[in-house]
Amino acid sequence: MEVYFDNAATSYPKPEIVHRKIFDFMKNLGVSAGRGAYKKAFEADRLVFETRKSLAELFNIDDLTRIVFTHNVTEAINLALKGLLESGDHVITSSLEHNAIRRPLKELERERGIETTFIECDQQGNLPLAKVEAAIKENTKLIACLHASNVIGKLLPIRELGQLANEFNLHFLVDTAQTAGVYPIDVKEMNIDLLAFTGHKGLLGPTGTGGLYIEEGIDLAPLRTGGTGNNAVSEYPPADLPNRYEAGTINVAGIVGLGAGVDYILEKGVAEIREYELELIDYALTELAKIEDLTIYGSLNPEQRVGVISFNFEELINHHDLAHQLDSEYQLMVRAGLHCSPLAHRTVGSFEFEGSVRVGLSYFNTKEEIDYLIKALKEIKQAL
Amino acid sequence: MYLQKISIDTMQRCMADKSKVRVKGTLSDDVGELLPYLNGVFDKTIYNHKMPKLEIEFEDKSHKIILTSKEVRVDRLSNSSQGRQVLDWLKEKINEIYAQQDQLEPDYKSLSNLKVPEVYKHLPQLNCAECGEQTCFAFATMYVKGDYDLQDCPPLFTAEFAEAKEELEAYLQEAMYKQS
Ligand SMILES: Cc1ncc(COP(=O)(O)O)c(C=O)c1O
Ligand code: SF4
Repeated sequence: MEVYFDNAATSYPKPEIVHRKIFDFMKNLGVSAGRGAYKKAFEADRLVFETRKSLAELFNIDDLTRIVFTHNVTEAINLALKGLLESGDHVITSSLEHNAIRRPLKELERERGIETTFIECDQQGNLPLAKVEAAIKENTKLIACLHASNVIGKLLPIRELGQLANEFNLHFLVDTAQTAGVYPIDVKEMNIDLLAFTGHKGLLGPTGTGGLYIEEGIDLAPLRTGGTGNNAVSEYPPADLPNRYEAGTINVAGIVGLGAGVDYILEKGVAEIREYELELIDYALTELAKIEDLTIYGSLNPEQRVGVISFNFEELINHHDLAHQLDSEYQLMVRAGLHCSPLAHRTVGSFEFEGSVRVGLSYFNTKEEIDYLIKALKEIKQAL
Repeated sequence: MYLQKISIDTMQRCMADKSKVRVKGTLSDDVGELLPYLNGVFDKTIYNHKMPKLEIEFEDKSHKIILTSKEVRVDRLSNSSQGRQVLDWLKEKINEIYAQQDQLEPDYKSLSNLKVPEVYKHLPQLNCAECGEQTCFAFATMYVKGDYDLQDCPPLFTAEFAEAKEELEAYLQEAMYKQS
């Protein structure tokens, strides 16, 4: 049995409709969106529009022109941080961050002279809100953090952070790489004014897709400038969205696939997807916890998690060897290492083991597959 | 749902503002009979019952919709996404209005009820061409077609023609509201 458990990196398989829509587009339409004066160009433009519309529905965004497409969440975060922050600005973030937030912040600290505060979470990943509030200063401009950890699946208190941001008049950037599509997100209820998402994980689209929602009233400096297909005479990028941030030919085929993924999610309902995943998470945690000498990082409460579980047989076997054995002997695909999040591994205690083995669950995994993983882990353990 | 689809046929640079675009589209279903209802629902409209044609002005967003029975044009857009957003919204509105037709009052207030000589009678009659037309009569003709606002005739807003302006406005009120 071949089992894919690396959905936290990218989801696989995708719903059938996702391949079909991309294939149809490539074969029958295949043109660039909105840059020609012919019917097919308008049709391609319409498909891109439909994806924006579906995303707007998923995240409860009123004005879909405020959703701009990027290659992934990393680019979206870069656009938000580099477009917003100026010398002297202060940013608050967490010790669970992926390098997608940590590195641009560190770069801006060095290159542009911004200030950063990384709030330490406890070993379970709990973010102390009081410390966040205490860190807010005169020059604080932004709270930026992930919605759920890609190492321990821990959900951060986004609503509370949003309230704080609102109360202190700060911008609030959320990296939804691990939550979009699998956990409810509402930019209004959560007071999120910059929402970064990636298309190829929970949103079930292809790689090379993602985007940023920029609330009305926020003007970011564009990351890249160039042709936008409109107002070509002007020497500077247009002021209006989405074109302002979409210079160059956009990934139409990818965006069409992303739209199909999001429509699939809207049809099933995020609540339904979450409920199924909760069952899987609960089952996996319960069964993993029964394995002797296996350390599971983070809280064992499934409600506080998305489907990302990291573990180790700590001193007994290196995570790389374990992952390799799972793949070569059992065709079980998991991820080993630091998962681009050394901060998170420090926080949860796995850094001294140079990372962990990570299982990333999706809506398409089953309990039988988890049983198979458990069996494999037990057998490997026994042979040690 | 009555109106199934509005498809975009062309996108061009806007005449009025060259940094903007306009889109033209086709409606899958005839909305001619709904136009008086739309005229009643929206605030800033210019309706022509004979054609029929309805213009809807969005000052805050700066764009303008020109709708006939089966065609639509949206002017002064920043990009195509904005155009599709407006058309999407329009489609939804039309379907809403269609669904509530029984509870709504149609509004036949229409430019086409106006008579060119009557409008002409109350103009300053200077033939000064400030409006862009050579004569006041030409202005009156184009005004009734919906191509101008009264503001396009500056002399009308001077103290000298205050009385004429009042009479003209009274006439417009009376004539436009007349059931046709
Ligand atoms: C929390 C988090 N942020 C950012 C990323 C980067 O995503 P992408 O490679 O799609 O930009 C990931 C996934 O790798 C992630 O889990
Ligand atoms: S500006 Fe007024 S007065 Fe002058 S020609 Fe036009 S309508 Fe007549």
